[in-house]
Amino acid sequence: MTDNELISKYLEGDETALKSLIERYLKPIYSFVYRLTGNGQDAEDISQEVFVKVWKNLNKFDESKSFKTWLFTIAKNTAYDSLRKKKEIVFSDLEDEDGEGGVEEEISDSEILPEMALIKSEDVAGLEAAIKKLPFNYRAVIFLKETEELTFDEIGRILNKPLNTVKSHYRRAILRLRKILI
Amino acid sequence: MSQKHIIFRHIDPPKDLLEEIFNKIDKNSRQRAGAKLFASMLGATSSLGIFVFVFRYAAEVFLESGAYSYLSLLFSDPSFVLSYSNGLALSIIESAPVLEISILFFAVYAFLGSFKYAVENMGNLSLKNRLA
Repeated sequence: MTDNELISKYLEGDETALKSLIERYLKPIYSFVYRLTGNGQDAEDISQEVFVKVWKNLNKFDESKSFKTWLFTIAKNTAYDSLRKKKEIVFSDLEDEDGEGGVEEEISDSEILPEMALIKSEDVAGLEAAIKKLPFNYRAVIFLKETEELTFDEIGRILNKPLNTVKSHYRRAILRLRKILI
Repeated sequence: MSQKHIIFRHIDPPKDLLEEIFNKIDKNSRQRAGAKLFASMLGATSSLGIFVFVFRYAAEVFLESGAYSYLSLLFSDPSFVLSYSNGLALSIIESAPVLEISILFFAVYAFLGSFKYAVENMGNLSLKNRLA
């Protein structure tokens, strides 16, 4: 059953449909939030908050849009608010570059950047530590792209950023990781 | 499995997280139903009070009105009523306390609506159809 079908069933009174929807997205949301916060307890708390928000607002969800995008938007905003409250995000973490310039515009959704291919097996732990040092939006872009395999357009909607900014974040994140690892 | 997949894998959430989420939603759901129940019972009580007050007032006004006098004729002299039925009907309508009767109907409607809402929310507070 598609997400929209489950939502429709739930809104008609079928509670099991909501249960199925949550089960479907629990692991992706928990993983995403864990990567943003770097902390298991925070990821648990935020994941709970995300799904409660989803439940509260499901009757307002526009079924012409993507549920996945909407869900990850809530997750990103909730994680961001949580980190801000704990003052783990500073203003410089936002780095609002608009990505002007031809290089970022040329990145397609299916392209694997050469830098990614350079990651060797012994770099895995180092890479995870390096990712934690990236600004918040860079981390979000990286994981939405690599783990959730969303398009740059979808990521842009989640982060509420223009397409070129998202591509710029992605490219700069990869370059920073490469710099840290070398 | 490529290095990329290992680094960007999904992470297994704690085993009880799913149940915790369902418990939290259930708790929120009950709180919501409780608040709605309180509001609807308050509404029902208020509208019942208004109904009683308006009913008494409407009854007083009606008893003092010409409509009551005309209606009394119905029971005391039915033949007179049959002869002058058109005029009598118009007289009753003209002298009836329309405003008070309208308010009375509104109070009844508000009370029944609040009561129905209260009964629905009592159902929501029950333990049926819980997620957890």
